[in-house]
Order: sequence, then structure tokens, then C-alpha cells
Amino acid sequence: MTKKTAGGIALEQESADLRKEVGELRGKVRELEETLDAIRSGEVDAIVVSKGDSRQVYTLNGADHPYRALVENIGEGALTLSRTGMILYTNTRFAEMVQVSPENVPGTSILDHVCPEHRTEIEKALDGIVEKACRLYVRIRQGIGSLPVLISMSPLSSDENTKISVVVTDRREDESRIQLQARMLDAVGDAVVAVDNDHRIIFWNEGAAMTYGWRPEEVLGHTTMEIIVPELLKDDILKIMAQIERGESWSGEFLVRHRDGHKFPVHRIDSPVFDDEGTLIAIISTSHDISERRRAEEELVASVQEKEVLIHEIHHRVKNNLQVMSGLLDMTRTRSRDEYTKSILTDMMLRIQTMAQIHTRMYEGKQLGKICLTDQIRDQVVGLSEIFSNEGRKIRCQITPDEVFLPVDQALPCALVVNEILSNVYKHAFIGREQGTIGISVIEENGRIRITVRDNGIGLPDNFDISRTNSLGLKLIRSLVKHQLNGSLTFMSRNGTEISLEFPVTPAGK
Amino acid sequence: MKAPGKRGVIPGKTVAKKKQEDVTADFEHALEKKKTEQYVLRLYIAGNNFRSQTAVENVKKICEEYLKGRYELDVIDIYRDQSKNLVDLVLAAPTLIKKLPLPLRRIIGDMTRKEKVLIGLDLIRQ
Repeated sequence: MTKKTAGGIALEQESADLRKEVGELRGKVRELEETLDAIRSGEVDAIVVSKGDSRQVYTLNGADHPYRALVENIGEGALTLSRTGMILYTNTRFAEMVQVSPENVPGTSILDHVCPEHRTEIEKALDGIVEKACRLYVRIRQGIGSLPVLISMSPLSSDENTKISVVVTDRREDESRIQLQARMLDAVGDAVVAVDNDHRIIFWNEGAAMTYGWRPEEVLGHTTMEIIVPELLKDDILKIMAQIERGESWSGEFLVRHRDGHKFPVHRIDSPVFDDEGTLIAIISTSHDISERRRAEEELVASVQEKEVLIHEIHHRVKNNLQVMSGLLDMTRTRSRDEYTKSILTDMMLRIQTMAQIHTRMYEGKQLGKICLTDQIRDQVVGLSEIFSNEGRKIRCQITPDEVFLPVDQALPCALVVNEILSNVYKHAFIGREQGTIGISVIEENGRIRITVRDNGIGLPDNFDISRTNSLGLKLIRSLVKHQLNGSLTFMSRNGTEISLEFPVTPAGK
Repeated sequence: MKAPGKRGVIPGKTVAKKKQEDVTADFEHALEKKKTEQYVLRLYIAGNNFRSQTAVENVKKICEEYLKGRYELDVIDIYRDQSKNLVDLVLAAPTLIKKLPLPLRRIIGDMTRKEKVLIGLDLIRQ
């Protein structure tokens, strides 16, 4: 055996140590591999993680499984964003919405997925997210197209570097419903305009474009005051607003301005729109151009006025002619020496005078087609007493009438009947007497008129029968009452005579 | 830019000098190559958990700073996609795997320690 050198011994020792160490390491590696295999192949239920003093146990079928399933199956896009808008987590639904593989969404910015016109809105919302959660209606990019969505963002904590949770809701169905509603509103012929609480226009249909001459894109965001310049007083506007805020609709007519500058009248109905909480969120108004109607109304009024003037003129001329005839009869009557002839002429004159009075009332009266019967009777009494007062008798006449109005076609026969009755009273009731009293009452009750003429004269002859009399006056009375007034007559003789005439009032124009 | 002239043999120089020049050229070439190499990275995360969120944010920042324009990053949720998980034998999440350039490297954790990540990605030397 060769003697080992000191160096050789040392080398052997080192080699033995190394072998031992390698052996130990192999054992440790085997143990580690077995542990890893056991974890990897699912032979354990939980993993224990120690960090400093605290120890956490992670079960492999996690308690957050239901939450993960919810986020994954919710049907809405769900994201977690960093404070700068970087997407840290996405569910599958959002990846489908933007048509990007779910593996390539984390690490991108939310701004990469929003259409360029909405980026500023999102940036602003991210800036203020710690103070305020927000909901934004925007469009996101989807392949070469875009998708309308509602983005709801809320901070996960009040920390300045908070993460942000985001829910993205597909609004295609909403949008198609809104489009349908907008089309329906466009189909309405009237102008339909909606304004928000600041009176800024948020909806303007085709009818409004036709009525006012402005396209929707030109007016959205402006106030109605700027666009249609309604001619309303400030007080009126405040009144309308108060009514709207009470939840009531308002309707009225006023002048507005067309784009080309001309003004025209509209009839407008303003109605409030409330949200589920009962807060006023908009006012919707429908307006209808009433220029044509106004013009037609004005023409109608002008035509009615013209006709009234013509009718007045006709009555005036008829009255003039009747007065001329009455005057001629009066002249002839006063020149007649024969009493009988004089009496006939007087009767004729009185009848024509009565008719002339009716026509005078026709054109003087404010209510065309209605004659005040009581005024007429009063005039007749005055005329009669003038004619018959020269016979030396003192006859008092009392009239206790209601204010009664009759249509022309009843006023004329009625006045003629009253004239005949009063003529008879003046002529016959007080023969042989120095004085007498006549009482006239006119009463309207339940659509019927009752005129009573009472005197305290000598009364009717014992054998008086109106159906057998030959007197023209009485025949006239009978005929007018029966055929023209559809009424009835009663005679009573007690301490004088009482004649009553009753007939139904027919409405004017029938 | 590559500089092929530097790699060629220049006549009239000594052998020793040529060797020295070759070493320098190779080093420069290697550096040049490093700056243009495409990276294929895969980050495994566990759903919407805090460390996974942090890992996404950190990896993205590092990539944008050091690998801008020459990297592909896939973020795989181990809860959602289990097939890739099996292929890459991922034990924990978050794990970042550098698939290319070779050699394959794994970095576990939320990537808050930037230096550890840069070493793992072969962007700085240990």
C-alpha cells in the first residue's frame, strides 16, 4: 500500500463530504418533487402559506368559486381597472364584446376599447372616480364596427390609488327600442320636442324639423328659447313651469319663430316626464301649427260680421218702408171724416207700426235674432195711449214683466196679438167710463210664455164667443195664436176682462 | 443596425489583434441581437385576486419600459383556461413564463420586485 499524502487524505475527505451532501440534496429534491407532484396532481385539499407571523390556508376549491362563477356568467362585461385605466382583469363577456381574445385584454387600457369620440368622457370619469362613481353611455369598438354600451364605474376603496370595478352593459336592444320609438315619434305629424331640466333640447322629431325648419343635429343641446323664441311673458313661463312641476300638463297657443324668421301661431301641450323616484327629468311638448285654422277662423268671423251688417241693413230698410206706410196711413186716418173708415185705418196703422217696431229692434238689438218682448210691449202701450188718449179718458197701464226674449219669428206674431188685444181694450173696455186700469204681466216658466192682459172695464158681452166673432182683430188673434205660436187663449170676464195667451218658446233658428 | 464589416478579417493585422477584434464584434453583435429579440411571455393569473391584478400591472409596465414594440403578452386566467395550465405545468399564480427567447424561465409572485423580474427576463445580469 502506498502511503497517502496529506493532500490525498484531504481530497478524499472532501469527496466523501460532497457525496454525502449530494445524497442529502437528492433526498431533498426527491421530497420537493413528491410534494410538487402531490399538489399538482390534486392529492391535497389545501395549501398553507406563511408570511412573517401570519399564516393563510388556501383551499383548492376556493370559497370564491361562486363569486367567480357569477362574474363569469353574469352576461355583462366585468372589468377591474388600475387607477390609470389599465385593464387588470376581464371576464369572458367583455372580451366577446370587443372581439379580442380574453388573454389579450389584460394589460390594455380601457381607452383602447372605447370609440375615439368618447375617450375624453372616460378620461374625465377616471380622474374623478375617487369622489364619484359614474355611468356613461358610450360606444366601444367591436372589430371594424362599434357597440352601444352603458359603462358603470365605481372605485373599490377611497384610496387615491384604488382599483376600479367596471360593469359594461350591452345596449343594442335598448338602442333598437329607442330607434323604434324615435321612428314612431317621427311618424307623428306634429312637432314633438323634449327638453331636460335646463331646458336644453334632447329630442327633436321630424315633425319639429318640418314645423320650425331646423334639423335635429342643429338644435340638440340648445334651449328652445334660442331656437323657436316663443312669444311668452316671463310670468306666463313661470306659471307654466309651476304647473308642470306639479305634474300637470299645460296647453295653450302662442307665436313662435321659424328658421326663416317668419312668426306663426302654434297650439302646444307641455307634459312633465318623471323617473321612477318621481323626479322631473324632462318636459315633452307637442306643437301644432295653427296658422291655417287661425286664417279660417278670421275669415269666418269676417264673413259673419259682413252678414250681420247686411241683415241690419235689410231690417233698417224694411223698417223705413213700414214707417213710411204707417205715416201714410196716419195722414189718411186723420183726414178721414168718417169714423168707421178712420177706425179701420187706425187699426191698419197700428199693425204696421208694430211690425216696424219689431224690425227696429232687430237692427238695434245687440243679440241678433232675439227681441226683448217687454220693451216691445212698453213701446206699444205708449203708441196706443197716444192715439186713444184724445178721447178724454184717463187710462193707466201697469206692466209687470220679466225680461223675456223671443226669436224673431215668434216676436212678430206675439207683438201683433198684443197689439190687437190692447187696441180692443182701449177701444171697448172703458166705454162710458172716465178712467180705467190695464195690467199686463209677462211670465216665462218652464220654456212657456204667458202674457196676461187684465182690465177693470165693462167686461165682455154675455154672449161673447171668440170662435163665432166676425171682428177682424179677434180673427187675427185667434189665427196668430193657433197657427204661428202654437199656443192657447183664454178669456175671463169678472170685474172687467182678463185675456191670457200662452205658448211655448221655440229656440232661435228653428 | 448590424455591422458586418467589423466581423470580417482585415488584411495586414496580426492574429492576436484579429482575435481581439472578433471577440469585441461578437459581444457587440450579441448586444445588438438582445435589443431586437422578440419576447413571447405568458402570465398566469388567478382570477380577479389582488396579487394577480398587481402582477398584470407590473408586468405590463416593465414590458412597456424595456420591451416596447417587441413582445407578445398573453394573460391566462388559470380558473378559466385549464388546458394551457397543464402544458406549462404552473404550480402557483401569478407566474410569468418567458417562452422566448430561450431558455425558458419562470418567475413567481406579483412582480413587485422589479430587479427579480428583469433578471428572470434576462434583461440584466445577476
